[in-house]
Amino acid sequence: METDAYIANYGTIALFIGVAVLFAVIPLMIAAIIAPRKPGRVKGDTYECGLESKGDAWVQFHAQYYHYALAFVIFDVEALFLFPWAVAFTNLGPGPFLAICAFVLILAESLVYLWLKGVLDIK
Amino acid sequence: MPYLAPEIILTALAIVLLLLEAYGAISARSVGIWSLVGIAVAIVVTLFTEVGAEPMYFWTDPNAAEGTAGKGLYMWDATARFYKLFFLGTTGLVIWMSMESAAQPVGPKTQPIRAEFYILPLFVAAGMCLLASAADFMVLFVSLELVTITFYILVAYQRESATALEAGVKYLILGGLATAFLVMGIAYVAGFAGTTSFAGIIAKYNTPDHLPVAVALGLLMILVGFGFKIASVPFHLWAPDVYQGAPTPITAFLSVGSKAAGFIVLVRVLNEAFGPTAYATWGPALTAIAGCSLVLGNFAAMHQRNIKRMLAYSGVGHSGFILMAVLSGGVPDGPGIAQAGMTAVAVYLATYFLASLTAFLVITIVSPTPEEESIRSYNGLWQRSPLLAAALAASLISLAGIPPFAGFVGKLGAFVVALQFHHYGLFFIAAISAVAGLYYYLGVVKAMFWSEPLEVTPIQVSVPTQVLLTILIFLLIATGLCMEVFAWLVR
Amino acid sequence: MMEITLNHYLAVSAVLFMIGLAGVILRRDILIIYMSLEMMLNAANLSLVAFSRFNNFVDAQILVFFVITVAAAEVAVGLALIVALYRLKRTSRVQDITTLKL
Repeated sequence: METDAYIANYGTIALFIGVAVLFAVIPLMIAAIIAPRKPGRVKGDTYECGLESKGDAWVQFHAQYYHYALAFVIFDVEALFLFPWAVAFTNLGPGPFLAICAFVLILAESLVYLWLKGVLDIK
Repeated sequence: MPYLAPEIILTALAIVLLLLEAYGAISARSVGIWSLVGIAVAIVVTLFTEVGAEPMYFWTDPNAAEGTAGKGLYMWDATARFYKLFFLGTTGLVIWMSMESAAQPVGPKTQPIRAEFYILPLFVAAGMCLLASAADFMVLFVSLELVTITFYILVAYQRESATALEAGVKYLILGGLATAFLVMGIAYVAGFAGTTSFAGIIAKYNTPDHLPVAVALGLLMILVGFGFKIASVPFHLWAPDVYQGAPTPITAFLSVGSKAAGFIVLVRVLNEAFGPTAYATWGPALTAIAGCSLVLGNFAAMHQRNIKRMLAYSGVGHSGFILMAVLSGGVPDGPGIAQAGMTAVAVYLATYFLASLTAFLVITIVSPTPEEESIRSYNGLWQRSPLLAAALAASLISLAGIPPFAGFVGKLGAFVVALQFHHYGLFFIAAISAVAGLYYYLGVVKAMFWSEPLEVTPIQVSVPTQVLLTILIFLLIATGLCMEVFAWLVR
Repeated sequence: MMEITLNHYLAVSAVLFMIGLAGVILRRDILIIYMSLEMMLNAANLSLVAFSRFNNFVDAQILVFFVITVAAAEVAVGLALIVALYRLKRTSRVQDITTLKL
């Protein structure tokens, strides 16, 4: 049967996956069984050696980065409307062209607004 | 095209004002004045746009086969005109209130009002006007979100104050939840119907059979989304906190504009997208919601010490009264909601508009800081400013529904509809709740006139606001005495 | 081989929606709650795309565009609010921010 041979191909992959998982799990299990346990403050740190970790995982970024990221999210998504329009461009009349012009103009307006408000310059 | 004029005027004006303000060419106060001018122009244009006997549809689908697909994205009829005027009027009064509160001294944790505070309501107004004309779930969704997302910003406007931010985040999370339910509901309804247009959906499902289960589920999920906007139990949890934490003009906007926006989309969807057979699905659900809103809203309002929280709970109660008027469907071969019900909803909202906005205008002036929002601050208001006391008394008595004030007409309409459509249980609950309402509304009125004030300094009111308050008091009484005004408005 | 039908997609979408809803109700961190909300919106998107694919209903995909856009706007505003709240309160856990009387 052709299908059987087809599925048999997946058997190799399954074997690989199984071996890969065992390869990772067995040493971990051995370590878990025979390793001595000494929990402590230093042990519980994110990095056991190297620099001493201090502070919170919530690092303070400069607020400007957030403004940048939030503006990016908006402009990124607006491309969603430009792509279908561009694909269908040759079949469309002047109406959709004007509509997309208005759309892009409003976007440009928001960019100018961000610029004037100083969101775009990182000090 | 005059039919889309209010939306275009408001959006264009808002964009221009944003740029001018960012460029530093215009002061915050003049932005406020220009916003008011823009709204006045939009009101005039809307008022003088012809309304035909039949609804008009725009952006119809040219590829749709005859009779099968939707009529268009945007519709224009008497209902749309009434609600557009309603939303424009609300926005105008809200901007007026914002200018009034900008004139007051700022507290330690409050920021001075900047130009965006006048511009963002213009976007909200544009979204609401679009909602009033939505004839397609796509337009409905986008314009509803334009309103909601702008409100997130406005509610948390005082971002140095923890209460305002907390209110903003609460509104954000619960609003996001409502949006998710709305989108999922739209996905089911539109997906199974194969069209997003109201006309297409009603063409498919207006049969004597019940709705398919999946579509009924979708409709109920859409109702969850709308229930959040109108702040009805059990979707009211945000209302007290957000009303208290938001700046007072925005509280007024939420309480009147956002609630009415929820009701217009509710009646539009039930009327245009679903026929009388859908009543078996939404009728029992809305009856339960209305009953709970009436009881919980009115009885919880009794125990409040903050006046904005009290009005939040009473607003939940008012949603219950209006839902009672919405529950007028299910007549075989009739419309989704009977004309009597539509009229009662519109009249109730109009009276609520007058009374609620008057009350919030007074609160803006009397309670500039959160500490002065306790009901005790209103003790002896009569001695400090007779005009403010009279205006607040008129609006509270109207909200309580005592004749000859406007609120009585609204309540009367809702009760008549309940009797007409045999909701006797709901009628009984509403009657008890209305009596409970008397207790807390009149408690404030009593404190204003017969209690000793905490401080005796008279409150100064600017002359234009004095004139506005006088007009509002006059309207509250005049419309209560002469009900034909509302009949004219709705026509 | 099993045929994948519309109902399978709808089932996955419903499961996603319920997981998101459970996340909103059960989790206590505002950022996680917010991610759960986005998951609920995407569950609806999955339904819409499936309807579009199986019922030849192109409008559903247009609606998905709008949902994605609106979700992005909501994220921009929402994250700004949450960051502002974090800066003020140094926490993003729900129980630490309820000062308003319930």
